[in-house]
Parts: sequence; C-alpha cells; structure tokens
Amino acid sequence: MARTSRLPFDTKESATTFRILRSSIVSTTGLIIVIGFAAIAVFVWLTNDAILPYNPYTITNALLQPPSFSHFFGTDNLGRDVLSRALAGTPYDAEVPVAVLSIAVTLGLATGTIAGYVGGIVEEAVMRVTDIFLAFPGLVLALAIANSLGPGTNNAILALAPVWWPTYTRLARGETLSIKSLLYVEASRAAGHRARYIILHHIIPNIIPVLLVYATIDFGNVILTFSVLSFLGVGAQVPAPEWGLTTVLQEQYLTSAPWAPMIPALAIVVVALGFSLLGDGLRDALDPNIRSLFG
Amino acid sequence: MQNLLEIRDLSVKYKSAVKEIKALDNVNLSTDKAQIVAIVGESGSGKSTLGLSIINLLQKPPAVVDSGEILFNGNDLLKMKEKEMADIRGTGISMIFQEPMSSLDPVYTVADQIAEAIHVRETRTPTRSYGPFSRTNPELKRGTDGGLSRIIGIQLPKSRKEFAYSGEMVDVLKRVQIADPERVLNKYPHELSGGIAQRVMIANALVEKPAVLIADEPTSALDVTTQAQVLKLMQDLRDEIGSSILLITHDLAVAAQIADRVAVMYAGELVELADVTEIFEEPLHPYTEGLLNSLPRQYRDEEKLQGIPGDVPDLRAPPSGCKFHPRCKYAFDKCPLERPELITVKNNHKVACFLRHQE
Repeated sequence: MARTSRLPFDTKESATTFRILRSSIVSTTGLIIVIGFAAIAVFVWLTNDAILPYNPYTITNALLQPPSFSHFFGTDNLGRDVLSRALAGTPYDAEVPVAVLSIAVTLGLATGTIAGYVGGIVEEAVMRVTDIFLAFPGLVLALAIANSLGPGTNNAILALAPVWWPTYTRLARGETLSIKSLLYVEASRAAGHRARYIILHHIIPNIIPVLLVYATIDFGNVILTFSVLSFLGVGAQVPAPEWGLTTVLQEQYLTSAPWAPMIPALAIVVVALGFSLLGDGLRDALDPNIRSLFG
Repeated sequence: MQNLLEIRDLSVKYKSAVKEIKALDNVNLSTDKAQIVAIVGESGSGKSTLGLSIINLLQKPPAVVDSGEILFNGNDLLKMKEKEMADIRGTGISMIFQEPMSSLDPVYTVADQIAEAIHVRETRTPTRSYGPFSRTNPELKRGTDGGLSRIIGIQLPKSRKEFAYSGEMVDVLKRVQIADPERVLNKYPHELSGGIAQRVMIANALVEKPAVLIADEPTSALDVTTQAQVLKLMQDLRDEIGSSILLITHDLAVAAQIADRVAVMYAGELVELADVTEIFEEPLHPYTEGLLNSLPRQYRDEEKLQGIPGDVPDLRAPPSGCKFHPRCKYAFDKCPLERPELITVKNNHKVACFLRHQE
C-alpha cells in the first residue's frame, strides 16, 4: 500500500535520512559536530552564559596562563578563561551563518528558479542584478552596507545577506536550466500543470539537495567573513566572545600564548569542517538512488 | 460531423542564426472521436514535431510556427494563451513521451506521481474538464505539500491525499497490467524497469481520461510482448473512454495492429493518408510502397530485403518539387519542378503524388 501514514511528521522518511547519514563514519562525524555545535549554542544562549565554568567577560590578573586543570585552555591577555569564551561565542557563530544562509538560499531559490524557468526578459533582469552584486568584491560591499547600518551583529547579517544571495541565484538558475529540459518537466506540462506548480513540485525538490550541500560547505565562509567584519569594527563588538573577533585580537600572542588565538580558530575550523562533512553526507542521503538501498 | 482535432496547413520551422529547417510543411490532418491515427515516418520526418505542436509544447525558439491552425473543439490552440492551453493539457490533450525512464520525476515515488495526477483531476472544475468528469473526494482541496518534505519529513496534506486516492491508484495500476501494484507504488522511478515505467506513464494518462492522447513512440523502449500489452491498453482506452489517439511511430507493424487511419510523413510533409487496411493492401505513394517492401515477411520468397535507396533529405536544403523524387524509382520530368498536393484519389484515401493524380 502507498504510504498511508496520517501522522503530520513522516518519521519513516527522516529515519531513512538518518540511517544513511549514520552508515558512513565521515558523515556521522559531521552530524555529531553539527548537532554538538547547535546544542551548545542553544544551551549557552538559553542559560545566558550561566553554565560556563567562568564568566567570559570577567577580567582577572591571571594573564595568559597556560592550560591547567583550573583553566582547561588557559587564559587570554585579559585573564579571561579561553574555554568559557569559546563556548560563549557559539551563539554568535551559529546565528550569523544560519541567518545569512537562510536568507541567501531562500532568495536564491526564488529568483533563480523563476529566472531559469521563465527565461526571457525576467531571466535577463534577474541575472543582470546578480551581476551588479557580484561586480563588487564581496567584503567591500558588506563593509559598505554594514558601515551605513552601524555596528552590531544583526546589522552584519543584513550586510552579509546581499553579498551571499547572488551565488545561490546563479546556482539555482543553472540547475533549473538543466532540469527544465528533462522529460518529466515536459510531461508535467503535458499534464496541464502551471509554471508555479512545476517550479514548486518538480524543480525545487530536485535542486534543493545541491543548494543545501553548497550551503553547508559555505557555512565556514560566512563565519570567516563575519570575523573580518568584526575585526574591522562593524560586526560583533569588542567584549563579545565571537570566535573570529577573538582570534584576530589574540593573534599577537600566537608565539607566546598560542592557546589564546588557537582555540577559537580551531573552533571555526572544526565547525566549518563538520558542516562540510555533513553536507557531503546529505548529498548522498537525498539521492533517491542511494535512498532506495536503505528502504 | 465536426472533427475533434483538426490540423490545417501547419508549417513549423526550426530557426537558428545560420540555418533554418522546415520541420513541418503544410500538414493537414484530422481525427474523429474514438479514432486511432498512426503517424508513420523515418527519424527526422517531423512526427514528433507534429505531436509537440499539437499540445503546444514546442521549444520556441528555436521552433517557429509559420502558418496554419490547430483546431481542438473548434478553438485554435496556436492562438491560445499559455493559461488557457494549460487548462486543456491533461484533460483535453495529453501526451506520453518516448523515454519512460526520464518522464518520471526521480524524487517522487510512483504513488506520489499518480496521486498528483488524480489530484489534478479531482480539483478541476467540471466546466474545464474535457474527458468524462468524475470526482471521488469532493472535500479535498488543493494541498500545500511542500518540496521540503523529503528533508524535514513534513507531509501532512500529501499523505492524506494518498490515503484518499489509494484505492484508485491500485485500480489504475491493475488496469495497466501491473501485477503487484502495492509494491510498485512505493518505488522510485529508477527502481522500475522500462516496461513498468512506461505503464506507469500510461496509467498517469488514463487517470485523466483525455479526449486526445498523443503517444510519441510509446512502445519503442519495450520488448515485443510488453509492446503488445501496451497497444492493447491504448485500444481499451479508445473503446472504453472514447479517446482519440495519435500514435507516433516508426514501426509499421505497430500501426497495422491498432490504427484506424495511417498518415505517412516524409521530410516534414504528409504524403499519404488512408484507412489502415487500404494503406497496407494498396499503398499509393512510392514512399509507402518502399516502406512496406522494406519490412521482412516470412511468406515472401526473396533473397534480399528491398530498402529505399538513398537517405532522408537534408532539410536545410530540401529537394525541389516533390521531396521524395531523388529516391523515387517512378520519378518523371514533372516531379522535381512542382510540389504535389495531398489530394483525395479514392474513397477516403489521400496521396501526394503526381503518378496517382493523373489517373
């Protein structure tokens, strides 16, 4: 019998996705890192830093202490606990990429699929607009927008999103063009479906894995660019424990107290790696050819 | 009686910056209700272009409709807006494509795709329906099942829909001779064999019960036994629902089995049009004759099969006059000069050849 479950949540489909992800050690690692990162971020944010071993903002006179049992990753140049600061930074580094990529993927999907499917003047217009955005170096454009909006994390999101969406529009349009010429789209038109229906039901489900995989790999890039904005004074503001900002500020102690800049930098690397490993796994998990093997 | 579908003087070109190909040249063709018309011809003779232009799915550009009209129920399809045309597609005119494997969306199961077809029919208003109208679940409204269902797993309206339609889904798959519908329904297209995929496509078309069904080489991907079953299905569709079927094929044997009328195309022109028994017993156009002679027959005592000498002409620079004259063994002085019209020479038998016109 066809899937006749009346549950609002199709547990069978998502169970299959998890089973495929868990079948490979690489994507399992990615999954663990991403879930761990998300859990810490949510937890730290909900408890308002209360669960951390030390207050990440309290300045002490134990400057640049090496790792010990009382300070697991040592202290920084102002005597703050590096571990606490790294954990306190997770909400910042989760919020910004998630927000920026959500905006970019949504906008990219909407404009890219319409441009690709409709073609003609609409396509020309959309693609020229993306060209305008791509003509500026991304960082310069983000800086200009962030500067005019004023410093702050939310403004940094609003500054990064315009830089990020054109890539997704181009990607979505390219994928749409290749799917549009396939026979099942034509068959759907022959069955009397409208453009809107075909875009929502045949094109988007077929290109979403591609965008999703690209977005997970892109996660690290957003963190890095956000760090640069923070360093230049328009992103996260100074006492904030945001990883990029911390790394940049502690960088001068790299030779004398490497833990101070290295721990937040490593955190960026691990999270970025985790997302790209997960992205790789997701690509497999969403492929119907592989899905069917796991039933 | 008024014809259900009538094609008048249709000319279609494929245009690019450097070349121009006349894919269809003044084609006239009509079908009645419950009639199977086979369109026969070699590759590149314009059969598929004809099918696509009837359902208005030609890629424009490069295709350009030069002239002509396609009347469906008295309305010209070529002058219609995309929106009006979309109302006709599926219920008025539907199409089955050549490659069954790529005609099914790889991310949906068979159940999803058939449920989709049933849902379209169920949510259509009766005034817009051309086939026999039926509605089993009037309370079901157009759902908002999302493409994200695969990732997050949310599919409230979809499973409800499939639940409501599951009885009909099983029925329709049984009708297309799928022995175990329950198993096939849960499969993704790539898990199906070509024959099953083709039957699922036909099931999709059956659900809609279209007034006109265009079948573009529906059997060319299948082996001979499945071929016979699929042809039988089309015949049933005609007999039970009264659909007209335009069967596009290069296989004369297929045409002989189920067609009522046969239209022979050569280089974008219709060269002969006659009832099926007529055309096989007494082909009037030399090209049809050549086609028939190139079929292997068991009872014939010949050492070699006769083919038609030469190749299909290059449509960028077609031969003058009758396009078949360079390959025709009966060609005479008039053939390269003038184009023969498609004229009725006998009862319901039209041919475009000077040889027959003079009689």
